[in-house]
Amino acid sequence: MTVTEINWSEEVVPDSRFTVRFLPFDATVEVASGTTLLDAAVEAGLPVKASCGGRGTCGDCLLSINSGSYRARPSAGLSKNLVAQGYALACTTRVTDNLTVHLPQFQELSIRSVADSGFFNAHKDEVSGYYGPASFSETVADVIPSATDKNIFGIACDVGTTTVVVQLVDLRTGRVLSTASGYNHQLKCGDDIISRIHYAEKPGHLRELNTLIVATINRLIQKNLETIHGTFLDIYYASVSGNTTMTYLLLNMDPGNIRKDPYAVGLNRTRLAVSRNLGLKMNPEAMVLCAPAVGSYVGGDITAGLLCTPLLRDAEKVSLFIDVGTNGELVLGNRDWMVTCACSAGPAFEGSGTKCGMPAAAGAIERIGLDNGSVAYTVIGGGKPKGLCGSGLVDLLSGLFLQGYIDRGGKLSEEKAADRLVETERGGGFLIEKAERSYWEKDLVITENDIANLIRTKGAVFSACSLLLKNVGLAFENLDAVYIAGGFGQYLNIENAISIGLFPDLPRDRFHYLGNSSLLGAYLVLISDKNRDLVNETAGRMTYIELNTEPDYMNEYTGSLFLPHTDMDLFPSVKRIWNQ
Amino acid sequence: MALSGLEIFKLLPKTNCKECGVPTCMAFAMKLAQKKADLGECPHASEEARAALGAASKPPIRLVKIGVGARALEVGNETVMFRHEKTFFHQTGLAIRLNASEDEETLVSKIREIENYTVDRVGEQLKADLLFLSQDEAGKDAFLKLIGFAKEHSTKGVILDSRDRESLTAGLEILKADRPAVFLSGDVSDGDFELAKNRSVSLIITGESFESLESRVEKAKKAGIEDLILNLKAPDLGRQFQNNTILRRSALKKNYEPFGYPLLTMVEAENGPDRMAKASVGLCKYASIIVLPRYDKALLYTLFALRQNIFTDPQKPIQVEPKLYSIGDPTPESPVFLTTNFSLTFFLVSGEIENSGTSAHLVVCDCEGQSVLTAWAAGKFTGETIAKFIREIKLEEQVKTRRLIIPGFVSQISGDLEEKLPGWEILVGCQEAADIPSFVKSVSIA
Amino acid sequence: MGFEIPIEKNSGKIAEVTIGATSEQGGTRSNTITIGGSTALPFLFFEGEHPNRPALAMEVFDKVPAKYPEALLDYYRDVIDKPADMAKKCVEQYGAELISVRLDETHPEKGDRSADEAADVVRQVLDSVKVPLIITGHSHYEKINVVMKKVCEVTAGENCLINYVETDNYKTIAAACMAYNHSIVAQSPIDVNMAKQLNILLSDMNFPSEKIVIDPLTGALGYGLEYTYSIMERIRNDGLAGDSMLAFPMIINPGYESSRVKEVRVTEEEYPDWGDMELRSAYWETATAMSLLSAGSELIVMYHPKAMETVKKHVDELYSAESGN
Repeated sequence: MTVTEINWSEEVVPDSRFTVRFLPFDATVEVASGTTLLDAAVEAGLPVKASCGGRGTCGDCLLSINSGSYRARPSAGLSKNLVAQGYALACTTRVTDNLTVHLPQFQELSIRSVADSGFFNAHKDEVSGYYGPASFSETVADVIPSATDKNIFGIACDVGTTTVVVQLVDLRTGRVLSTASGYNHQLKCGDDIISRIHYAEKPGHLRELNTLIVATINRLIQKNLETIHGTFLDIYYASVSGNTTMTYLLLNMDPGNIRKDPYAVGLNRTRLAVSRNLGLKMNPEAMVLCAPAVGSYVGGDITAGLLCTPLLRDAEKVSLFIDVGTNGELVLGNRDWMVTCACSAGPAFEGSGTKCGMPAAAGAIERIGLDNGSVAYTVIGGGKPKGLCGSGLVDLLSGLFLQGYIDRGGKLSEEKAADRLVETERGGGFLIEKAERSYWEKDLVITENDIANLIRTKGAVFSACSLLLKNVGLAFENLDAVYIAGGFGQYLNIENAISIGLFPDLPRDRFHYLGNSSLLGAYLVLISDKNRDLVNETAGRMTYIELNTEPDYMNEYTGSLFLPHTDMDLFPSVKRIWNQ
Repeated sequence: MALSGLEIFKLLPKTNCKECGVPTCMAFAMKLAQKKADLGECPHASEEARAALGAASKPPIRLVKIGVGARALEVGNETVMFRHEKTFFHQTGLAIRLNASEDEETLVSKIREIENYTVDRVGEQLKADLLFLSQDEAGKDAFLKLIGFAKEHSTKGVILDSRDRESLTAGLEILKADRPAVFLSGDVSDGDFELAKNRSVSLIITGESFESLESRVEKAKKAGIEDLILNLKAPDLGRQFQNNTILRRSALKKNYEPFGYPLLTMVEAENGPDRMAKASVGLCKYASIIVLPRYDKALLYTLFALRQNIFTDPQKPIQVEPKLYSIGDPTPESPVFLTTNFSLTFFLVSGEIENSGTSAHLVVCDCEGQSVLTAWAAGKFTGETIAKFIREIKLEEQVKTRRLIIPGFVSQISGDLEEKLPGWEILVGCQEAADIPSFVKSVSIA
Repeated sequence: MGFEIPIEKNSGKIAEVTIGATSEQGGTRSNTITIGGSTALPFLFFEGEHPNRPALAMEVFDKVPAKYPEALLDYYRDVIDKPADMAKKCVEQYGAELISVRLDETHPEKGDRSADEAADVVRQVLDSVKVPLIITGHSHYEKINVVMKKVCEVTAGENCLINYVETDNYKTIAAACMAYNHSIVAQSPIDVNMAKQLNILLSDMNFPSEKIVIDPLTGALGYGLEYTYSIMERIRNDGLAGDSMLAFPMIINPGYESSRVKEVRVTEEEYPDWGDMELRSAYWETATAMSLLSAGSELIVMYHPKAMETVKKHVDELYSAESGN
């Protein structure tokens, strides 16, 4: 690899064309020599942003160049040290060769398997799903060879809007052999569900989205197989849990129908498909089972996720299940009744949607505390921080609020935050860590816009909680347990989540953090037909509430766009701290 | 007291049999709690459930009807003090007073004029509801003539205002198929109740105090008359405001049965603006019928607008008719703006285009009354739906320009729209209506 | 059992806000205006106190509004471009109890007048009338912050009502009001929560609660009035129920909002079903004001002299119940 630093004004003659391959999306474009990588990325439809408008100052469009030569102009947004490591800014780099380029903000995730997460392990006997040796219905059993010397693998797959996790399971023992996760390659077609649905409207786009998700899953299957040196022919069964849109796209069904009455038709029971029809890298005869959806925006990730909680077993207790992902989904109820709804929370707590956010992967700040001017944090995997994952963002917002760095509307206080107040391309912000101590050698900053995004996200979740309760005529204190799932990370500080008004102010022992319940749910459905029946039955009993048509929703929502809430009396424990 | 969804659920069979047409018993229970369903739709409801729900759903204010056919006025059945708590169900009926002592020609022409007066606002045809026929100082014959004119020239419901029982009996005979009401000022007796017996007639009971009103209502109820409307006389607007509030609150909050009827308010004032002020307050504060002393188009139109505002269901947006609107005096070259048919959005956008001083065309798409962002998220304001609508209204035949200005909030549909509307240039406008004037200035729109 | 008036006692009380300052109080006004102080829903004297009548203001302009209705020009033609004279006319002829000075021309897109020029206009009005002033701005944050700071400074001691701040732009103007002892209008876009949030933000910066007036944002009759009406009823209900962050008097603008609608500017010839334009323009503003008075407003900025007269008369009539039944 050669790097030629050129005088930018010297025009590169576009005499030839080169291909640029972007990883991890595996998107390839052909461009004229001299095209900037930013233009190439845009042409490839990739979500590469440059908030400075391509002037090389913001550093948003950071890339690492794996192979090929290019011409780069030195810029303020990138340190020499990073240049030496092969990093470049897309806007100041011109193509002069065939290139393979990696988008580091979409690097491979190292999300730990959640099957071994705390809550499930401690409560195996109480959760609703069956846990034990694998057992299968006839349809599935027919496919599985009876020979005992053969490997029989299955996969549990959580298809999220942002990330996808695939787990390889030994179906004889139920043991998880390997887990792989990565970004959903559909990201280049839009950040959230609504944009994907819109994207799918154009001719050919449904097939493209379908191909992208199949490719994403196949790549993760391949990674798992590489880990154990297995072959895809040994995979006979897959259990998939995903939101309604993702499941539609995997099955190559038009998601446009999701938003029209009758909603989510065709998915209200588990869908069984044959692998070869879907193009998944498994034994061609393998069965693929998709967990059922309840409504347009409450999908199999939720119905399956409920298996990991005791909610479906309790007769008298009333529990609330909250899954905070790109969308927020909630289920309220018990064995006898369940109501559910979805809110467009936005991906803020999953790490997108905020400048300083990132998924819970190596380099993410997962805990952070502010104490009168000093900031202390822990980074996943140690080392310099790259950004904050959901749990870190919750901690940070809570700290900024309770320490008075921001007002209750989320605006920075000029007096209090003075020495940490910085101006960025995206407006004023609070300096978390200085450039020299952060991984990207750029100031790690949370801007007022980021804060507003986080407040909108937490507001959407909380207002959905309170509306769900109102709909059945219950109050927060009637909740016996709150189960929290989602992509916050391995850990979530409930105290801080309450102090920002994300969750209701209830006794802390009622909260249980589940981690990725969708994946665990998919796993449970994979290993037992009992769970498959249970997930079907569960979907049939859930009552879907469409928040958009609820007259009170806007009112609940605007009330929640404050820290912790416009009505502080809903948060007595936060009020006590605030008043001090 | 109203039951919550969960309380109702506990009374239901919990079988999720779906025979009521709803997927789960809980969903049905929530519909019942919102009064969007009837327990009768559940074939398996227990006696206990029927009893519990029946008691919770008796209307505290009686529904009373005046007139027949499509133009009949229904008032009452209200359940809340404030429209934001749920909605006001039956809008105030507007009655116009006609005095039998006026000359016949004037009366006939007034009746005809009132009958023909209908005006469109936000797609709704608005008109006065009732004629308040007052015998005044006139004799029986003149009164009967007036009633006859009303019968002949008007389809509106009628209130007869007289204390002459003979005139009333004859008048009611003329209107025997028309379900009129009788305004009985002062004390009432069995003779009055005879008027209503064996006839479809509502009685308007008046009172000078809460006590006199209550005792007269009790008498009427004892005589078996249930279709009542109440008019508590007040010396001034302040007292009227308080009285109506007290009557409504007694009925709703205390289930005080003597006052569980709709209210009638008389507007009496020398000049138009005073009548406007009194009628506005009456309409906001609980008058189910307002009697106006004279026919005044400007006043009626203003009151129609107020009535539409106050009686709109706060949970349902008002919609305007989806079509192509002209703002100012647009030529075929004038710019074309686009928005949804949520009334507030429409008013803001059309108002601000007007304020910008530009004449323009405004395409108002059918989005079921949703605002721009909501409609977009619900898939009702997309490239496809907009293009389809633009073809339906034959926009290309009506304007020469081929540039469409779309709301800034839906900039993401511009590409799609350009594809679906070949030959059109899509220009992304501002997000807030208030910025339209500066937007118009900043872009050379031609 | 006989009938008993169902009385609902409230735990809350609407804050009393005084606007203006007399010479003893450090200003130059002949009198002050106090609004608020109610302990019951509007005009319900049988269950609470309403110590102060709603006050009626009228508005003058630094620049003749672009689309000022013909029906109003008939009253103001001689003074419309002379704010000091117009203020005098409003007070002396039409009975305005306060004068609002609208500083639209300071908006960068509407003339970009300087803060000093704006201050001059305000000074002139101060000199010409002795009633308390409302100073009304616009939504261009950067400019209005500069203008209001200057206006606050030159009117120091007069206890004007500075109209307005909003959630995204409150700190500068609120600080100026505190420094020079003015009252403030907290405007929010027809939303109870946002109204409350802004009041919390103001109180968190120690803005005195007896100096806050809520503007819930007026929708004219037929143009969103129903939203304003219900938001005001909700704000008032919550305030009386004890939510101190909503227990403030409310200002509304029937004059300004009505003057912008088509219904006050088209003739009967153009729209025969709409009736006489003269009457209609007075009716429209009257109906907007009277309905919002019923919903709890205490400070009303009017334009139409006939509507002004009518509303004033009926506020008095609504107060006739004060003496008891």
